[in-house]
Amino acid sequence: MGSGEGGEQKLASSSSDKQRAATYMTEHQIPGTEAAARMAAGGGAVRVPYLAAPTAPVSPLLKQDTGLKGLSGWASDQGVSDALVAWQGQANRLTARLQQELAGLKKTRATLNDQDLLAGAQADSIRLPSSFDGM
Amino acid sequence: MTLDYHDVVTADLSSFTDVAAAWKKMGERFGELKVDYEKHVQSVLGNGNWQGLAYGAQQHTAAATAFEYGAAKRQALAIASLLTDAQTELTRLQKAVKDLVEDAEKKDYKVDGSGKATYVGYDKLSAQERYTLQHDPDYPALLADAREKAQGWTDRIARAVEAVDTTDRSVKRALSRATSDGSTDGIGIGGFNTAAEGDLAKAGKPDPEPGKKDGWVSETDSEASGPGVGSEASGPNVGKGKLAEAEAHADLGRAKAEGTLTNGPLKLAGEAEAYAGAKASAAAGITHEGAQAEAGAFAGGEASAGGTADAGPVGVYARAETMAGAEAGVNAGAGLDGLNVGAEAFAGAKGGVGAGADVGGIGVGVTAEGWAGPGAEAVLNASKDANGVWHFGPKVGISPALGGAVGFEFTVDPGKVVDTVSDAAGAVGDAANWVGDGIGSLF
Repeated sequence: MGSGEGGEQKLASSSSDKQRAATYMTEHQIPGTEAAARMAAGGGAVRVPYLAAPTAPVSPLLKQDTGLKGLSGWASDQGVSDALVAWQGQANRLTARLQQELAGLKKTRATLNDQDLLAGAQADSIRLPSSFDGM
Repeated sequence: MTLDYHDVVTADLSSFTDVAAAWKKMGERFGELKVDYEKHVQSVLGNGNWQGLAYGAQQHTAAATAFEYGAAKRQALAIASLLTDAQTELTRLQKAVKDLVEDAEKKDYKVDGSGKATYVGYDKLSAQERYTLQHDPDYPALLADAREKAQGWTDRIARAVEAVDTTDRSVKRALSRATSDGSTDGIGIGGFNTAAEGDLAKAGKPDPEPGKKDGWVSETDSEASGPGVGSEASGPNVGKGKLAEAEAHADLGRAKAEGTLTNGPLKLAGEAEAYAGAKASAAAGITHEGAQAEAGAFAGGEASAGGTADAGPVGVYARAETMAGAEAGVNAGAGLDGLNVGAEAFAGAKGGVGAGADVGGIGVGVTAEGWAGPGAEAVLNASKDANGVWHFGPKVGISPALGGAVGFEFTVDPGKVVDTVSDAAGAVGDAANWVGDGIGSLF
């Protein structure tokens, strides 16, 4: 951490950076990742909105819509179905990870602000010696 | 399911194109998301304004996240490539089947809906020509020759169909391998697979022999026992209202096996148990309305297998159980004068029973063959004499005709085990449900 005027500027900039990164993650990165993760569902036939709500985990017991038409008894179709289930699980882990990062960013911002306020309060309580002391 | 002739010749393989394109597009999108993440999150936070321990931890995390985006792109593109290869190869092999049929038909062999060829050249003959042919001394030999050649066409078509099926299975295998992240890079096992192979010829190869390739070291230990018989009877206990119980069992065999596989930091361990035999029981109770009796029998095999996979501190566990066999049950009610109930399992000869379980390539199988006569029986006789006193005569026994052979098979399949590692954690809950459902449906 820097000190003096430069340190304060860096502290302020760092907080602003975190805010910017957190906003980007909230508005673009996380919803974009969730939407992208479903692009292969139904062989791409399923229209996924850019900002899509998270979906419940897919069940490995249910055959997924792979987009392969008329090949329900083929091992390839089952393979793509399994790949979709695995993919969704992997994507969910990635999204959960992004959520954790986001929570971490918010937490460090809050901690820094609290520390800033605390430091400010402590500074305010310090009184310089006065010629009126003892009077 | 094995593909048959009808599956192969009627399949439209064109939809592979769209599906491959969707996976490719998804892979490219994840590549874009990686760039976005690096630019708007990782770089913004790494511009020098933020320093200290928390910053170091965040950057470490961010590097792994960016890695996963890259791995996702690689995995999706590999799947797209596999699907493109699959379409090319399956289309070529499907055409080979159709070409064979065309060639056969050109030579007057008709191929039916199941792929069976029959010579129909004689159908073209006029009535006069047919008459002459049928009275030709060589006619039987000609017919035999036509039948033999027809069988040749049938066999060749079957082999061509099998080639399609083999490739179809290799596609599934390759896809499974492409989606399994067995490495500890990025966010560890279970993340996206940065090493996904997109070449079907390489990724679709059959699994290697256990313990012989891929650097896997296999250690197995197994034990088996049987056949054995036993019986027990208890009762009556009038105070509890349960008068008598009889139970008998005939164990054809039990087997237990354990195995471990190690390869560098990965250690896979599995154990499996199997049981084959028959159990029969009978019980009777009495109330003021009369007597109630129950009898039940189970015959068949049970098997279970469990496996664990460990890579450093990360471990997953999976377990599955299967049960196969026959169940017989009798409920009988009787008046106040007496009753006689019994249960028998395996009345008459039985060809064989088999059961097996397989978790992630660690599996066990059990087979029982050669049953003849009742395997186990439990009979409970109850009667009331002239003075109104009940007499109970539980009788249990094992049929002297019991005999048979039992075989066990314990398999460890390294390739399959590796493929399963990342999926095992998620499967635990489902496996528990399967077990519950399976047992529930039997009783």
